[in-house]
Amino acid sequence: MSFTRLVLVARWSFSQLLLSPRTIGMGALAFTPVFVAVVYRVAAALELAPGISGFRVFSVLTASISLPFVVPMLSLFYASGVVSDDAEAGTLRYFLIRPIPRPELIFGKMIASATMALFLFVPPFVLSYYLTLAPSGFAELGTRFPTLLRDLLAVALALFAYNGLFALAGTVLRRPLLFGLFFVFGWQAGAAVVPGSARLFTVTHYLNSLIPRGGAGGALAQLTGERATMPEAIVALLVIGAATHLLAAWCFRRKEL
Amino acid sequence: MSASVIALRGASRWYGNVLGLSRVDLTFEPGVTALLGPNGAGKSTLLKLVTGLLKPSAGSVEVFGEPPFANAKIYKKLGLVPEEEDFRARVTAIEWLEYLVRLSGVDGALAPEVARRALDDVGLSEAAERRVTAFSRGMKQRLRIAQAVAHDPEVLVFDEPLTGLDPAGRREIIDRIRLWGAAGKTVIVSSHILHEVELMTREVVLMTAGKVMASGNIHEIRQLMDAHPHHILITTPDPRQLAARLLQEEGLHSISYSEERAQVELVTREPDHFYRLVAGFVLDGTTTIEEISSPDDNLEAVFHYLVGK
Repeated sequence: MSFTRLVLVARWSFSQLLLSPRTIGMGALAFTPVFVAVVYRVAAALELAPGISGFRVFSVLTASISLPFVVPMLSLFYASGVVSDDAEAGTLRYFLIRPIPRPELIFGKMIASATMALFLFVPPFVLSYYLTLAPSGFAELGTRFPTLLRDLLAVALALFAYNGLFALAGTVLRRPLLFGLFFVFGWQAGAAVVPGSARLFTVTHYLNSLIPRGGAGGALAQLTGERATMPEAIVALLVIGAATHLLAAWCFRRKEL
Repeated sequence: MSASVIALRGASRWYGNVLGLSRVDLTFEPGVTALLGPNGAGKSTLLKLVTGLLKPSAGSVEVFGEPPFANAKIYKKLGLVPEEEDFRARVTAIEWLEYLVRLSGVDGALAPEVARRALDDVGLSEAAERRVTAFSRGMKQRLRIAQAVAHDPEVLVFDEPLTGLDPAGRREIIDRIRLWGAAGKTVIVSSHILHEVELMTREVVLMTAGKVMASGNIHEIRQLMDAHPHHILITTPDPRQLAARLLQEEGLHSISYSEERAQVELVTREPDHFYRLVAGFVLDGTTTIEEISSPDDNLEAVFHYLVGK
């Protein structure tokens, strides 16, 4: 595996993702918590939200928008296109006939899709943190900062898992977006409220275990003790991510045009 | 082991129940070889097998003695001009080529120069900084050719390389293909424009329904086609006298002449015998010949006889 070539492919793929029309839509989605935070700030300034702490608002934003929607959607719309984007742009066969091992090509692309998702997620997430907590003063911002860092690390792990999963879908399926939408809003949403072990086969179960805040499913899980421990959740997300990335590379190695 | 640059041995390829290529045995050597056949003949499947974009369902395909499928080592020596398809990379021509030549193993410091040279070669240097999406069909085709030759590969595979080019552009690319062949590169050209293929090479592979109908020198293939006697057209001031003399020869299928057009047309399975005979008439001064031609000793006739289209 050549690091130079990996970086070359990742940089190129990132620039193409950045310029793609979907970035506008994904950017708007990623900034949704910021819009809500601005509304909260306005409401707070007008004293329309007495007794609601900034951290509470940030937690709700995280639990109800960032984690269940923004994180999987960013990952889905970028990672599922690692192969199909090039196929649709008519560029895939030019890459496949270059003297670069196919796994390097797909790993470079997967690095780009994960970076892109992270690139779109982090600034608005941090901005929403600042907007919601700033009225409470710098002391509050500082006190809660470790929580923000922990959230970001947990999201990075979840993005790693989602990225591999959706990249794998993009490598083997004709319609990876449909699969991804079903996985996120069908399977994961359903498994979260169904008792039993189905939730073990979701990413949200482990992500919610790392960021145990809010959400009806989360509260129920906390009550019933159905959370994974932090080490379990970290290992599970790493294993899901590593396995799906490797599997995607293996499938791409065998892919015919 | 075969010393051929490219060798297909019993190569077959199915798409589900549909046969794309059926037990093809073929070798390609340095020089230009044209791949001819109607739509669905299996030309594109064969090119995809040779360039390692597909694996054979049965048999083997080797390029420089190795299976080409996903073989990075082979791709260093191979350039492909794929068939025309929508091309929507959000880049300029020079950015696109620089990236591809770097993927081809050219050092990052040299890549801009190599890319510019390739663009110059195909007449696109003026458009180097323009977005590829704004290119005309012909310009995109030139860019496809540039990316295939930029890293100076030993094997060049062209799928319909003249698509979208204007007449001058076609002529230019035909000349370049001939030059690459003459320079010792193994060049495979898939095309359905017969008269332009004839300008590139006399070495052809004729395909239909996934099978190779014939391969080799077009004249030699024609000679072997016993089912279709050769037509020879002779222009002479005295066609009646020439026809009478030829009529006495064995191996004549039919003969006709026209005083008005001053022509004799004979049909024979032994064209070489009659060429020699007529040459003898000229040499002994008994007949004046203005022109001899063989209207069906060409690619188009062979193609139509074999493929029936």
